[in-house]
Amino acid sequence: MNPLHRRVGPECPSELQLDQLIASELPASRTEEVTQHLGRCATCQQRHQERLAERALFQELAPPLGGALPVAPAVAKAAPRRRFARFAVAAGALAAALALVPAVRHLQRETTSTKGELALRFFVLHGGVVREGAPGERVQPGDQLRFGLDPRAVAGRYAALFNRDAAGKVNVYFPDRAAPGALAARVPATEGDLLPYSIRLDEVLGTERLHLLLCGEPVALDPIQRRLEQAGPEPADWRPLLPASCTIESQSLEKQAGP
Amino acid sequence: MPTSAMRPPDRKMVEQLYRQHGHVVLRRARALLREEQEAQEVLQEVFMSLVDRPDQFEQRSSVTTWLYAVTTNACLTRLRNGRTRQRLLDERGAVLAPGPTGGDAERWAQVRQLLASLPAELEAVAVHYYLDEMTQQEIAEQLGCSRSQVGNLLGEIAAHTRRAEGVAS
Repeated sequence: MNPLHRRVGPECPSELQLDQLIASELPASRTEEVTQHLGRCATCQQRHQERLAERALFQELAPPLGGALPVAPAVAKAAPRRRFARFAVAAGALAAALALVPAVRHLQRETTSTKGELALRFFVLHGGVVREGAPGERVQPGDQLRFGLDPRAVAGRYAALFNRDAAGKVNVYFPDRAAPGALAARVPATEGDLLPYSIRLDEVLGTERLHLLLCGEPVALDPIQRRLEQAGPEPADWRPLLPASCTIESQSLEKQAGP
Repeated sequence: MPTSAMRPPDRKMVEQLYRQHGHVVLRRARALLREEQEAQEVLQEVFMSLVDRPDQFEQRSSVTTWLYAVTTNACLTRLRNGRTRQRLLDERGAVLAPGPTGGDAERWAQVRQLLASLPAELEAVAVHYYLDEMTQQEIAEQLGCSRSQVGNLLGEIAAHTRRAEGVAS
């Protein structure tokens, strides 16, 4: 049996040394060596970033010493047509943790868009640990999702993000707090890659579909939402409602009960 | 956060250590125990024991080095518990803590199987070598022994593994 080989070569720092680096416990000479190595080794740089994000997340979510793990409180009332709970993500360690997640891998996911790279990515918070979502991601009720939109893809476009659950219920995840009559909206530049709120998944199990709509004009969301609920989950069912300037990017989640 | 070289950490200092270093303890506990509830218990256990017995951290090593040792020992103690060991051997679990995926997950599973079969005096060495990827020198510093002794212990682990594979086949 060999070690786990996260280390690429003998010059790569051990787990202990990475943790000591973050804790500022290494001797100055070794700190310099490791820091320079991180600038050359993508694997170790990723290991380092993961630990920084892990520490930030722990400081955000950890219970007090001797206490139980708290549940993130709801900070806003849900709009009447929503069944999911949203949580404002204040500027803090969670946001910082996600900002430190390694750069998005441009996965070639299922999509009806003509574009090769995806505009939508998402992160899953489960059990106090953040991971980046992937096609067909398995999630559980109670997990929190946070979404990122590629600034290059959404620049100058009007966006809307729909979720259709296994029961056929459609929610609008973006624009946030979409009231009846809402339109697709531009993604504010100040929000950067990540939308400033997370979504807590409800108890409905099964396959869910995320649909990101990007249009050259602000299309009305109500007709699309109704058509998604009535006709079925696939974009082909509601494509006729959309102007030619719109692209649709879709991917699935598999919501399953926890063990 | 530097602790005073002259006095043991008080409650407030331990809480600071908890916030600054707790993620390290939790990560290691999750990896070794693969059960979230037990990993959270170890997290609390490690730091609460420092509240109760602050003099156990003699400050002869870095905080991180000390936490590696106590976390490893706390997890190995739990693993030695017959019920936990059997659960790991059966590859069943309650709520599994997040862990590596793919090839790494298979090796983690192999290491846990190895730990379940090793005598107690070899377990810590196996953890530091196979999971932490420490060098023999680092392991020696961690355990407070010589590098040659670590080499001997790794040889015993290898021999033990070969004997186990021979029995299995």
